[in-house]
Formats: sequence, structure tokens, C-alpha cells
Amino acid sequence: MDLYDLLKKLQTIEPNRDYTETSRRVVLSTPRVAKLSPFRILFRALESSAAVLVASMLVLIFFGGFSVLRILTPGAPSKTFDPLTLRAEAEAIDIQIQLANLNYVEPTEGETNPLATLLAMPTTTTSVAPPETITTENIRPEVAEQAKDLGLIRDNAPDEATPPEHLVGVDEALDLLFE
Amino acid sequence: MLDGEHRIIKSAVRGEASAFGLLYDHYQPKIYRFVLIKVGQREDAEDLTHQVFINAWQNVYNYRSLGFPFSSWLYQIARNLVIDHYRTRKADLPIHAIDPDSFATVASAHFSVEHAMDMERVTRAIQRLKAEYQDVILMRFVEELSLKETARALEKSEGAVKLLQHRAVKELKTLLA
Amino acid sequence: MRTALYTPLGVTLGILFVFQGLFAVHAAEPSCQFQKQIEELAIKKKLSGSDSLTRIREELTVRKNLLRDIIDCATREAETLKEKLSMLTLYDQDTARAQTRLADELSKTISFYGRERVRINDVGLRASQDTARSIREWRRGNYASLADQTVNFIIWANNQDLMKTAERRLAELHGTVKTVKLSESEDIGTLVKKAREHLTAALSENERARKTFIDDALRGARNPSLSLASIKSSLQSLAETYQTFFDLRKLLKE
Repeated sequence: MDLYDLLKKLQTIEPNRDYTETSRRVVLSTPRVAKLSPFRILFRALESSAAVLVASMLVLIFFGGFSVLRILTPGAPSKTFDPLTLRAEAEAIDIQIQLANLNYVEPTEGETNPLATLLAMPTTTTSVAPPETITTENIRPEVAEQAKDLGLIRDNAPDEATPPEHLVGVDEALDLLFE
Repeated sequence: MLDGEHRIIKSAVRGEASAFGLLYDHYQPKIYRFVLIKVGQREDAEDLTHQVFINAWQNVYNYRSLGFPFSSWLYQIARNLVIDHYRTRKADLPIHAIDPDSFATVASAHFSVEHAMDMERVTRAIQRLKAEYQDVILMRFVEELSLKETARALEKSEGAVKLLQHRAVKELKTLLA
Repeated sequence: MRTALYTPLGVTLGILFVFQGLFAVHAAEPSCQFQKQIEELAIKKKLSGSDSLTRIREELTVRKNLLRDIIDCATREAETLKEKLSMLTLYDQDTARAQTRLADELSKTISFYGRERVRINDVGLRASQDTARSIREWRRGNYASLADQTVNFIIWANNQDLMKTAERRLAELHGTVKTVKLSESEDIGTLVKKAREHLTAALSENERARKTFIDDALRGARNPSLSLASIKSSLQSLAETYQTFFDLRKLLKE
């Protein structure tokens, strides 16, 4: 048997169940001795000041709330259509649309996709293209940040002189390694 | 890593026992395994593992991620306790004087007859490695920690861990040959 | 003025300033771009003047280091996706199960990379090429669809709040229109009906996407292009719902 297989087999070692139950109970019931470090003192101050802030806001809402809301939304019909809120919600949808467009998916072999034509039609003017050609330069910052996190786009090369078509990512590098 | 670990850790840091309980459930078998293979005795391993989690629970409010995985923190506590365990043992026996049946206990208690012999050989060989080599072998190949997690747990650079790993594997192969 | 520094507000601001640096600061990860290393490899391959054994050894070292860096990058990619997935809050068991399944598959990916990384230590030149090929094929045949499916799932999960908000808006609109008897206006009635139709379409496609994830999880399959199509369609209909809201607002102002 391969050494690595042998070592992997050691993963099957497990503690005794009764021991685990007892130990867990004892550990979790052990009182914690909170050592007062300067950070903990400051953190407690922050917690209590935040709590005061939240409580104040709640008082304002409950006792002054109705009048505040009336000031913010004059007239019943426009209450639902506060323009700033509507715009913010519409922008959030737009961000999701752009992210969905960035997730270019090549249909896999054998996968039947009756909605393939829909995929080919972008829902916005943003073109749907494989991520290799899309960089952070041509999309909104808030979309770019989320897209980078999801691996939908890559950062520009640290050396700005390298044009995008010369960037070598994981899969390209692997291709070059087995040539 | 546990799913949703960052949130769970934040709750545990705030003092929520149930959150720490989730961390305990996930990591206790790994820490137990790590300690057992190193110390070779079930009772000692149980005591030490218990102590790891007592210490962790007492000090979790001090934990700050800062790129330092929670697992690495636990393994660090475990390593230090094992070192202390060897230092305070009344009979500080050299490795060849330890009853070989104590190693057999690990193997026979956890594996079928078919595998017990192989497992006994490998656990004995690991026991004969120096502590650093044991740690890197157990963390990288048994517990499958990443290089980063291992480096943090051993308080070394990733480059140093790569070198250590290479030497540890080489020595282990020699012992098993 | 000086006393302001010592007020609770001042202390709070000071604490916030200090704490912004303390929690979960991740050091910048190295960029997953390998053009420099590829260039270095090309140089090593062309080296003349050194004996072939030295050249091979040097080339092998560069290859192994590059492979390790590639695997580290790929591992980080999978770990990030897994982390993003774990941060989603889902309210029904079926989609939670789909989430768990994707997380498990990502864990397997991370383990695969870990194993390949260990193997690199002992490979020769030919075997290093084989390793690169096997990782590439595995990524193409396995990871690509998993990553796509996971990203789709994350986008879909984040859409749920938008769907609920739109439903709430439409309910408020109905209430408002009835209360002030605006339903008697034909134009407003048409627009309200249009908003309802668009939203119904959005919710229907949203549910179709959800079913795709659940079915895939149950069958151990992956249909990322199918789920993505439903997601895009639902977002398109949601955008049209909001366009109708804007049109209604304009009409109400007149």
C-alpha cells in the first residue's frame, strides 16, 4: 500500500463516544474567566454605547415614528414610490444581472438546454463573453468586486504593461505545462 | 474548515457556548487523532484533547483570525500540551524503551485485523520521528491541512514547512522500508 | 472643544478607528497570473552551454514550483467559493441541502488539489507534465461545471431578497391604489396589471431555478446553463417589473 494511502487510513481513528460526550459537556460548562484586557474594556464600552444608540432609535421610532414617517413620505400614493429607494432597488437588480451575464457558461456535452437562446441574449448591453477577456476596467466597481470574489473576472496583471490577451491564468498555465 | 465557520467563531468569541460546541464537534476528532498518534496512549490522548478544548474555550475571546485559521490555533495548543506532557512525565523514557504494545493499542483498537499490522507499522514509524516531522506528517497527510494552516500551526514559513515535509516523508519512508 | 474628545461619541469613534484593523484582515493574496514563470520556464528549456542533467534539473524545479503555485491558486479559488457559499442564509431545507452538496463537492476539490500538490514532490519531468494534464482535464471535466453551478447558486440566493422586496412593493401598490380609488383610471390599472404579470414571470423563473438546484442535488448532476438561464430570465422580468413601477410613479405625479 502506498505511504499516502496508509496515512490517509489513519483518518478513521476516532475518539470513544462516551468520552466525547462527557468531555464536551464538561468543556462547555466550564465557566470562562473573562480577563479584562484594555481591548475588552473598550469593546464593552462600544457594546454599551451601541446599545444606547439602538435604544434611542427605537424610542424615536415608537414615540416619534409616525410623525417622522409622514415627513419622509408625504402623500399616500407616493409613499410606495419613494424615488431614491426604488432606484436603489433597481440598481441592486442591475448588479445581479451583470453578475449573471459575467458567469458565461459553456453548455457541457450532452446537456440539453431549451433556453440556450436566452443565454445567448444578454439582458443588458453588457456583452456575454468568456471571462478571460473581461477585466475590471469595463464594469462597475461594485460589480467588479463581487465578480472578482466569485472568480468571474480576474484582476489586471500587476505589471500594467501586459495586455489582457497575454495574461496566463491557471488553465492556460496548465495547458502550457503539458506541451 | 467548518461551513459558516467565520460566523460561528464570532459567536464563540462573544461567549456563546453552543457556537463553541459546533467547533468542538468538528475539530475534536482531528485533535484527538493528532494527539493519540503522537503520544500513543489512549488515556493520555483523551486527557490532553480535553485540555486542548478547555484551554481553547477559556481563551477563545483572544482569538483573532487575521489570516490565522482556527484549526491552526487549535493544533498549536495541542502541540504545546504534548510538549508539556513529555516534559512533565516522571519516567522520561527513550523511545526504544517504551512498551511496543502501547503502539499496538492504537492500531488494534481502531482497525480491522487486516489493516492493523500496516497501521501499527506506520504509527510506530511516526512515533520514531522527531516531533516536528511528526507534526508535519500528521497535519499534511492525515488531517490534510493546507500548507498555510500547517505553517501557522507550526509557526513557520510556508517555505520552511515544504522543506520539513520533504525531509519528514523521506525519513518516514526510510523507517518503513 | 477639547472636552469633545473625551465624550462617549469621541471614544466610540476612536474605538471604531482602532477596530477596523482588527477583525479578519486578510493579507493580499498573490495574483494568479503566471506569465513570468512561463517565460522563465521557456528560458530554462532553451538553455545551452549547461549539461543536459543540470538543464533538466533546473527545468524540473521551475515546473514544480509553477505547478505548486497553480495548485495553490486553484485551491484558493475553491476555498473562496466555499466560503461565499457558507455565508448564505437559506430558509428552506431543500435548498439548504443543495447548498451542502455544493460545499461537499468543493471540499472534495480542495482535497484533490491537496493530494496532487503532495505528489508533485516526487515527480520527474514527464510525470510533472502528466500531472499538469490530469489537473487540467479534471478542471475541465469536473471543476468548471461545479464552479459555474456554485456561482449560479450564490447569485440565485442573493436574488431572493430582491424578489421579496418586489412582492412587498406590489402588495403596497395594490393597497394604495385601492385606498385612493386609483384603480378607476384605465392607464394605472393597465400598468398595475403589467407589474403583476412581470413579477409573476420573475417568481416563476426564480422557482424554476430553485427546482433545478434541488433536482441536481438529488440526482448528483449539474446543469449550470439551465439554472443560469432561469436566473437571467427571472432577473429580466424583475427589471421589467421595476420599469413598470417607475412608469407608474411618473403617471401618479402627473
